[in-house]
Amino acid sequence: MVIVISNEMKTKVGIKLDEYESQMIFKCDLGIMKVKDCYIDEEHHKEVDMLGPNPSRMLALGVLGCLSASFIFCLKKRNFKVDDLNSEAEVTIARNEKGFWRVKKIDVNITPIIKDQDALKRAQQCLKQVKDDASFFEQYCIVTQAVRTGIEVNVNFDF
Amino acid sequence: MLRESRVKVGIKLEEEMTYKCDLGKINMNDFFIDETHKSYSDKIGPNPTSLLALSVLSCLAASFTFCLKKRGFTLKDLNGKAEVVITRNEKGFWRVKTIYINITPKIDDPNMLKRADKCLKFFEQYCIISESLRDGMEVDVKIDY
Repeated sequence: MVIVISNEMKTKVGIKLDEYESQMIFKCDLGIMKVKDCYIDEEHHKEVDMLGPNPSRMLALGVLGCLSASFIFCLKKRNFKVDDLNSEAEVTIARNEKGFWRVKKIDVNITPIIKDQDALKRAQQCLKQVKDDASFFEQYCIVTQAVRTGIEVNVNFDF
Repeated sequence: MLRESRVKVGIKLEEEMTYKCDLGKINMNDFFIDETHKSYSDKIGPNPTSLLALSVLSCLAASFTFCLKKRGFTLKDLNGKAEVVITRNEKGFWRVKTIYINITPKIDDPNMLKRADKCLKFFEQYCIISESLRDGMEVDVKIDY
């Protein structure tokens, strides 16, 4: 559910403990969305055993989806489209000085396919650095720019 | 002691601003990230903000459960809710400002209640996600039992 009040938006989600002996698997509550079963699995370590992503993967998907949508939004503002797009994220988790695991960095690689020459020019503008750590299009990303203060996020483009 | 671990995920454009997730060998049906539709009844998947909230919420719930499990206690049930507040920054761009977390575990056993009280003091340290994000946004956690 999203509630917009002028300069503020609110998003709500929920989880419920699944009937699983381990107690580390949760079912997502995404309201009235058309989503089939969504589970967050913090129990299994091997992907072949997992019923859904763990929280680190969820975070990576949030950053990846946000950056990809922001790039496409930047093109759309000038009525351009990508012909295709693939993205990957690698999350590095390391122990801090007290021995607790923390997300250290997220390396993002976005690979759009853009055939139109004018769209390519616009893409270059979208990638232009406006700050030390962010391109023009990244400013549109709600999630990454907020995450970045706590976690290093490196963004690479191949096209 | 293992010092570092890595996980990988991917997405592929489905249409407009909707993406199909690549979660490797994980046993799940097709999972989409939907930034195209504004109305929740039209969405075929969560948007990035919802994914961030689910990540923080599940990480904290698992950390609390883990803290109980360390002393052999098992929860009868648990529900969690997250509300993300997004505001405009000084330049007018939307940013995640606060994530309000409310976790409601069902605990009847008095010994387990004692352990839960202890866990409240330190369980958040077990959470990889919330403690990494706290420099960038406020994470407000409430446990009701």
